[in-house]
Amino acid sequence: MRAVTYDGPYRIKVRKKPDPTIEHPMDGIVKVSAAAICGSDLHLVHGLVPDTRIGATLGHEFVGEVVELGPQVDGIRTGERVAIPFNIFCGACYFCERGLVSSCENTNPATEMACGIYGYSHTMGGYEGGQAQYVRVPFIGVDAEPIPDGVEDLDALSVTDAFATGYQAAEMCAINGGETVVVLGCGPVGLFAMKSAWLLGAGRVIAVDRVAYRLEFARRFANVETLDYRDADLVQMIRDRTEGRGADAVIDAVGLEASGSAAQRALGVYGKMIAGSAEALNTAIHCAMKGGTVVAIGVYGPPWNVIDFGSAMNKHLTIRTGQCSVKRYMPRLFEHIQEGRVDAQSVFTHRLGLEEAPGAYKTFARKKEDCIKVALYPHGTLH
Amino acid sequence: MNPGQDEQLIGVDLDPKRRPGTPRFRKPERWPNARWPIPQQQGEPSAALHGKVTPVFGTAVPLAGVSGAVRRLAYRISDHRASHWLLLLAGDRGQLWGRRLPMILAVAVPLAAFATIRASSTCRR
Repeated sequence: MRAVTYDGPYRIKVRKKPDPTIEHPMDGIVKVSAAAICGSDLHLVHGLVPDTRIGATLGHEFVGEVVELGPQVDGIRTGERVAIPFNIFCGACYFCERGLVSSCENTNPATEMACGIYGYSHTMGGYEGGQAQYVRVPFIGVDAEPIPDGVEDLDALSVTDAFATGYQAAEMCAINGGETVVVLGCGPVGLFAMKSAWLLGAGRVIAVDRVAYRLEFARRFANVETLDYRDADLVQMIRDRTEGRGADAVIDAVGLEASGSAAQRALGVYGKMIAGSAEALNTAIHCAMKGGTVVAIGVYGPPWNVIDFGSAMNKHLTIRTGQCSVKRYMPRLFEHIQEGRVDAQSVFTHRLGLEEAPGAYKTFARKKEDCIKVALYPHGTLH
Repeated sequence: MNPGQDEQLIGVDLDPKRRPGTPRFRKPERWPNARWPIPQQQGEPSAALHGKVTPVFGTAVPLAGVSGAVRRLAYRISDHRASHWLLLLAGDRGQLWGRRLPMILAVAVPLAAFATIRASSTCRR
């Protein structure tokens, strides 16, 4: 089969690889119909995630058809169309039973921090990713979510990560009705966070970015106010719009490759002496009102970051963060899609064959061609 | 339309009962189709072990060579220590240069030999 693989920092190669096989009795094999490139895939490609090995298949967002099942798989049959959460989880451990499937204890031998994730380095378990024609899916009977009739592949694809993560972020803001929510970053996760903030009852949603076409997309997709943080001091702009206090909640949907601080980018993103740039998180801390909430769902990694924790402490902030436990959210998000509340597939501005992945990564990373998100079709079917 | 004005949308999930992740920890309940105990996958994980072998593991790109040795060393250090992560990054760079070095040497060594031969024949004249 063909698969998109990591070939060294800033290098992607589409390679021929052996088809996946059943390695555990609760595994299944999925024939991938569509896969997505995520902003966090760029952190891998940019050499920022420890233990990223040359030759590993990338991709943690994918949907497809079940083609093979292990002998101890219940509840799913071959031929079913499924969406696979990016978390690999057992469904039976301490954390899975309590709903935090992103903290499963039984799928990642490499670290205590998080569960196994498809195609996201050996730090996250060493599983092959979904930007390929076929993928091994452990615990498929537990993890896979059947795609409802009438929901298209690209809508379902958004639910495997971006929509779920954006929704969890908005949920973590603890909106009671009428709050002002600021979202830093108008990438796919940020866009879904904005939409989700409305669903959860926010009174006002303000989106922040520095790229004009992304701000315009946010206005059209999520009906939000927008700010370009290069126009003026962002913290002051937010205070001017919130009676001098700051926002009730600020979502950092940027993560560790944030712009805005030359020192953090030099030390972190390029120098790798700290774990990327935490500038977006610092901005969130300063834009939130005293007693407000900061939600960090942009990806960060160990070992350390330069964060203004003193300001967070003195401002009584609540900081919420974490990898999304996707499976919990899938039924509700499918409902929102089916009811027409969210046009999820519209974020896929670029829809390409698998062999175009190397160029697609560059387009996505450099924010060219008004690219918001890329979908790849491993079997060449274009929609 | 002013930002946010979409009556079909606003507050649909205001009720906490409609929020899938609220409360953060729900009452313990096994997920449908889960099994306990979980059968153990056979073989070796390609991610170096950090404690126990999990019942299910990935097998992509096994450890190999000098970079594999560096990574294996890294995993003997607990992941709450910075040295664990810095060694893993060193392993990544080691794998990269391990692939690049033969290609560089394949060009550099003949060039150096050619330059040396030229220089010594020029000296003899």
